[in-house]
Amino acid sequence: MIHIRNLTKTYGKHRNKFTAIKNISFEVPEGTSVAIMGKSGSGKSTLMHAISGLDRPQEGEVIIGDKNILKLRGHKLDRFRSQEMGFIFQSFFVEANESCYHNIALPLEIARVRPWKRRKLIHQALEKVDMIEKLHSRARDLSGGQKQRLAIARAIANSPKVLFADEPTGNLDSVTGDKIIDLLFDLNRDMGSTLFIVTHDPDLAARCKMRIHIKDGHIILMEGQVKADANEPLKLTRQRRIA
Amino acid sequence: MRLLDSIRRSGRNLRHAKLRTMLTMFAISIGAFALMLTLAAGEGARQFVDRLVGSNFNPKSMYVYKVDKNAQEDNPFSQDNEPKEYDGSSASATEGSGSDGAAALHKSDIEKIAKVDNVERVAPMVQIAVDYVTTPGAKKYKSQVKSIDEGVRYEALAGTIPATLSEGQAILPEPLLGALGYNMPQDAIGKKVTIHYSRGAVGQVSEGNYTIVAVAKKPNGLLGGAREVILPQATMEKVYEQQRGQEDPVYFSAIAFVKNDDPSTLRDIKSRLVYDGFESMSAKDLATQVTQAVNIVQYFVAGFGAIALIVSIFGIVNTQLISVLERTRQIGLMKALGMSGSGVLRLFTFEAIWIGFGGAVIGIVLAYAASIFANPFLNDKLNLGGDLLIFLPAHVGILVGGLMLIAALAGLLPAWKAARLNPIEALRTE
Repeated sequence: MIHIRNLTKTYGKHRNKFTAIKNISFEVPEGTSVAIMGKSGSGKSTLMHAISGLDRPQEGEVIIGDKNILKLRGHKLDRFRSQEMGFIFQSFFVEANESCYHNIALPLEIARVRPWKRRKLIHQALEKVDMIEKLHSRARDLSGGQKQRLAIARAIANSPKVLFADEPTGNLDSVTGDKIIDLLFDLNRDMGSTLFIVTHDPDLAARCKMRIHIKDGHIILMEGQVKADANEPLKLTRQRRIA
Repeated sequence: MRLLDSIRRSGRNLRHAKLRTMLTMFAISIGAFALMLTLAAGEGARQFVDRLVGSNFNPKSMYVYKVDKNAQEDNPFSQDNEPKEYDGSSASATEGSGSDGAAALHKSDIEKIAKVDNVERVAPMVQIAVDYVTTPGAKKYKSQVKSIDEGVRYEALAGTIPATLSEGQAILPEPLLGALGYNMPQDAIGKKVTIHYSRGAVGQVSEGNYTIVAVAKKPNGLLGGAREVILPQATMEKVYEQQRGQEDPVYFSAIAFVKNDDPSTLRDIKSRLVYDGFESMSAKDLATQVTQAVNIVQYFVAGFGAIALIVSIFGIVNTQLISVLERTRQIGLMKALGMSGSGVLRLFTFEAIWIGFGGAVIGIVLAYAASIFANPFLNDKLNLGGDLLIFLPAHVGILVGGLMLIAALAGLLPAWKAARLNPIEALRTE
């Protein structure tokens, strides 16, 4: 299980103080897929950053496996992120001048995977996203969909426990986007890693096993096999969303 | 990230910005070029000095003299302002010219020098007055005479220059050759030369006849060569004592011939001589003195190279700062993927080091190319008897290593900025 407990993150000080997420708690079983939904500024990105350890909330716990990652300091957190987490971004963030090979090599190099093993993992990852023939192509020569597939290959190369996707289809047309979504869910199913998708696309969210709706830093609705933590008022769960 | 991966990735990052990288490298290469040429010219000059001294002076000889402590008052460069009491102990070697600071050596001094370990023999230097030099059938010419044992090396035009001359032998200098009626140096070999010595204190006039065993080349350029008739040391001493008459013989200086010329032996002899109150100078000491002058010129030129280098350091800082700005999202991504701040710092520092390395290599290659053209030209114009620009692997290594270090320091500020970036904000940057 992945436990999120009492997460609170505020920005600024004194009169400018702004609470991005307020006392958020929930837990998800490993291997599931979770959609974090909400409008811009609702706090969904902050929540993702907090769960992934990129950001440090003032309060709360994020327990993945047996580790509270918010308690990990400096290098330990960096190492945990490099070994157990994968990231997919809306604007791909592939390195345009580098080949697909070296793009996928980046997180593996950061995780200090040995060169011979790295080669194997890079080939496997590219095969999974069906782009092995692009091994030595430069990323700038790829189409948008291919770039996102490359980004997915990069995210899964090290078989992370948790995969974060921030609006993975936001920059793609619907046909390409659907293919990317299919790919993501196939990989989620085959690899057993937990998938967090931040999105405001209801179609994408509908395919996730769970959906968490955020508004003004609060969870306003949880759907699917979400089990609310004891601290969260029960009345907020299993509530139908009014369109 | 492993060290090797960091080095490779930083190298690739630079290749993706070829023009900018090359321009920054060229800026550094100007300083590297100047410094490399300075080092090469310094080495060439040092080797030239060694060649010059080595071909002119016997390395196994040492010039030994004594400093007159009283005479130092007359030395305008002396820092010692205390007046010295007259004690009658140090007679000046040359009457009426004590101001050069040289004190006379006595027979006892010569014996003392000869007793020093590893000194084979000592030849006291004497000056004797000569009226004229002539050969049968030739006119009389004014000339000087000199001992074979002055530690100076001569080059033979004819015959062979012996290590030392036996009684009755002489070496003729090239300038006297034509005057004494010899067309070719070979013609003089085996012939007689007559030297008429001046009247000494006793008033007797003497004359010596000597067989010419060799003809020595005249001086060429800065040092060396023969202008005087060269005689055996024993003859010189005998004539000097005759001319000196009843007075005790005193000498300006002496040449100590040592058994071997390795630096430690020379050092030991020198310190022993200092202990006994003598000053000394070996061929190596002379070379060192000349080299010091070369070094001063070298430091001066190196200063300009250093200024060029300092300017290029700002080039590195500037380039890398822009690079960090441009690649904010890439840095954000790397940090999101779990790269530590120190990993980012290292990656960007390696980029700066690559730039330093490239600049050094370009500068050195250009300097070497310049030397290929300049060396024959300089040798021709300056008559150095060898290349002026000499590249030592050690110098190349020091320069490359030094520039990589400087570049690393210059790259620290931008790398530190990169390392401190907040990954969330960096990824948000458009």
